[in-house]
Amino acid sequence: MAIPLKYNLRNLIVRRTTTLTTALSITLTVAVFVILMALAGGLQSALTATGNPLNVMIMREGSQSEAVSFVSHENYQIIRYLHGIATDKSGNPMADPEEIILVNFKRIGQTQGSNVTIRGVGPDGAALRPEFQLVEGRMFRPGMREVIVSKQLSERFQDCALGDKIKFAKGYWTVVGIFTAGRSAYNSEIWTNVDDLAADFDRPDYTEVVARATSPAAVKQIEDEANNDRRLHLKTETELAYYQTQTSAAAPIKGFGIFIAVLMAVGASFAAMNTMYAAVARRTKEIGTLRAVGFSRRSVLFSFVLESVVIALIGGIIGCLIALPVNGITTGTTNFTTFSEITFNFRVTPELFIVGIIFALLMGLFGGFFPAWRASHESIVTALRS
Amino acid sequence: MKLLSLMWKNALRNSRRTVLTILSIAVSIFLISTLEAIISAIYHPANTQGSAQLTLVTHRATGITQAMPASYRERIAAVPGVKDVIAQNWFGGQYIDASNFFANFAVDTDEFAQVFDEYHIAPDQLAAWKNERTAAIVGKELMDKYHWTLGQTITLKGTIYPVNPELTIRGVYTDPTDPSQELTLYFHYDYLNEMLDESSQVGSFTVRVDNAEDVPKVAQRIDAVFHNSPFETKTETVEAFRLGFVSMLGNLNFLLSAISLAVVFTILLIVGNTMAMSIRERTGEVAVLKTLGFRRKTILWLLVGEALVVALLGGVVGAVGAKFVYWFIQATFTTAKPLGFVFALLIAAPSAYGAWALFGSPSARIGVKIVRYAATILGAIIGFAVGIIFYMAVGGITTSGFFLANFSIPLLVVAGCLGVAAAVGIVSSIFPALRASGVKIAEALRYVG
Repeated sequence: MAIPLKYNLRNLIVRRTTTLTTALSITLTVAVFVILMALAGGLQSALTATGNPLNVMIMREGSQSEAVSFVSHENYQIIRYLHGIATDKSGNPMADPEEIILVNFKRIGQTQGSNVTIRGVGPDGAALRPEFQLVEGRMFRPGMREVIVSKQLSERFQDCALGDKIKFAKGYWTVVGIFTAGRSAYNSEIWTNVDDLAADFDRPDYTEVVARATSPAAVKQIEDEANNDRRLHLKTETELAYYQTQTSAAAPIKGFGIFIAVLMAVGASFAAMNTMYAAVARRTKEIGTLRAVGFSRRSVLFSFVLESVVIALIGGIIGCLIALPVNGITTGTTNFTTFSEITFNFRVTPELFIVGIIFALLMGLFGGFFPAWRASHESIVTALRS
Repeated sequence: MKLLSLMWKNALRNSRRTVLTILSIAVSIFLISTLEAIISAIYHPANTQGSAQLTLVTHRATGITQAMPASYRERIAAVPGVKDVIAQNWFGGQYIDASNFFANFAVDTDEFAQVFDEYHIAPDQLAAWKNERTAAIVGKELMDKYHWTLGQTITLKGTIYPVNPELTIRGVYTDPTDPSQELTLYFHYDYLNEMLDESSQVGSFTVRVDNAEDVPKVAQRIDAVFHNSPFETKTETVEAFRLGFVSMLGNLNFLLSAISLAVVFTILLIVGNTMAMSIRERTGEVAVLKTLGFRRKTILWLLVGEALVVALLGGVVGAVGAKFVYWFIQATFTTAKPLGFVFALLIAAPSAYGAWALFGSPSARIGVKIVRYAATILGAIIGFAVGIIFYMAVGGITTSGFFLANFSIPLLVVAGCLGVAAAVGIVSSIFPALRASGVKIAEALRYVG
């Protein structure tokens, strides 16, 4: 028969200071863990949330990112008429040349900068990305040295607010609009007209071509035709796959987070162990009594483990609650595949909450098991005599 | 002296508790010293002295991903105060596949030795490299890492440029001032330029300045030359250039410092809790000591001193342990990797002993004994696995040539961590000790712990 939970809870309340300090050391461990995982998760989700499976990116053979690709104007004319490409509202093939240029801008309040992606898009640039939404101002006009900036960038970088003038290439460009793009990587970009950008940077080639396929089968068709065309020497990749391969950018943060969490957890569970050993030592007589009235070793073991787990649970819940306010905070880092800034939000998801609680429970289990083991093997006679 | 031995006996009385406390402090201090050493490696590297101070990097003002005309070399060389200048192009080539990362540059070879005068290279090897268009020189550590030999030909796969140069290793250099510089490969800029159809574009120029006082002025002069041209430049010291990279990663300093602070606070709670528990259990004894005539101050010192000793022991194990662990991995990873097993055994042994001790039981039943043996073996296996994973992970990161190459814990960090440990010992015990030492004798004797 199980020892009533009430017995443990009352004991915890009697020793509330110890209970609380032990729980708090678990709290801090869980909070640090959840915050770091929210950071990694946010970065990962910005990359996985990007990319349409029907969008095909056509780049130079061997280029590992958009930034180092180039596609000649002649090749663009070939690509435009590949089979399987959807048509846009005006009846043209939905295949746009794009120009990607990385420019170093300064973050607000900092003297050092970071590489920001400037994307020159064609007429279908926005239509190719359904998540794109203009939230302030208007769209840029070709030939007018106008740009639109993502909301996240405009909040983090100097001279990127609506109406500001930013300097790059041969002069100043006016910010005429602010856009959002769901949770995707386009949230870290500045957009303008493809030909304006190419002209200003003296680029003879486009960077890449983005084409929309009519169906998943058409994706295959476009890829096959592009790869088999001996004039092209290009590689094709769906937009979804392109961003998916970059999610490894979050791996170092995850690894680092786990390293820190494990070390902190060792410290915290030793603390829980100390607390529980003290609890067992103080209650040796009670344990003897429990055993004498017929509770089995197993019930005693279970009861003390449970007590430790309850402490950990309190700590874990508070830890998750402490971590909750970071949810949604915008931050940024450099994506080393593209060598450019990617801004993203911390993401504290319900799943992460559960993982945090489980992590806390594991600490409680580990910290409570040995003292409980000790308690359950106390011989009744010596325990009662102590 | 007597007080000291009493303090020691007190600490050892509940030895399991003391050991657990010391271990949890040690693990936390290990973590703090790692974090602080990362901050120090990133923001305050050791090699900002000497020749690095005389070196400037000139790149496009709009960022290092854009190139400048190679003709800038002569215009920079003509700037007063400039001693030597070479083109230095980040090639970003992959060796076999993406997992083998190391820095590789295409450089002008003529004045290379003058600009990188901290490098040591045999004169015949230097000459051999200069004379052969497809030759390369490699840092000693990189050479050891891939077990290359002189005369060997390797292929780099271009990720930025659409070419795959085949290079013959003709020389090995060392850098006594900063061994982390030995993880780089240099080959001819002319060779790269030829493969790229003489496009004559350069990513950056490395400039050697005559004397240290002139450095800021020369940087300004170079940028003034190209001001208002289509390719404006930014010239900065090697250190500023490196910090530019660091800042691209985001606010690491804040993140790492915040985590360190959380860890400090956690140990404060852990030690505080332990000391509060053990002092409370001794309320009766304190009363006896008082009855015997010990002064309040003496008792206070006795209790705080005990916490201080325990915390400092944890600090020493953690910080000195961290220094040793990272030193050991650095020393053995490239040259004697099998010693990683020794490292894993060093972790497995205490882990096994810990499991053995924690599964101790007064019961002599055979089932209990079997559980104890099984737990010990499991403890050893887990410790061994953790040791191997840690060894491989840290070894891999610190030999990849990124920011943490030649990672070690600076002595200043060790000292700082000991300071933190001492402070934690005092702060965490002062309140329970004050309360215990101030209690009235009659009350304390009656107290049931």
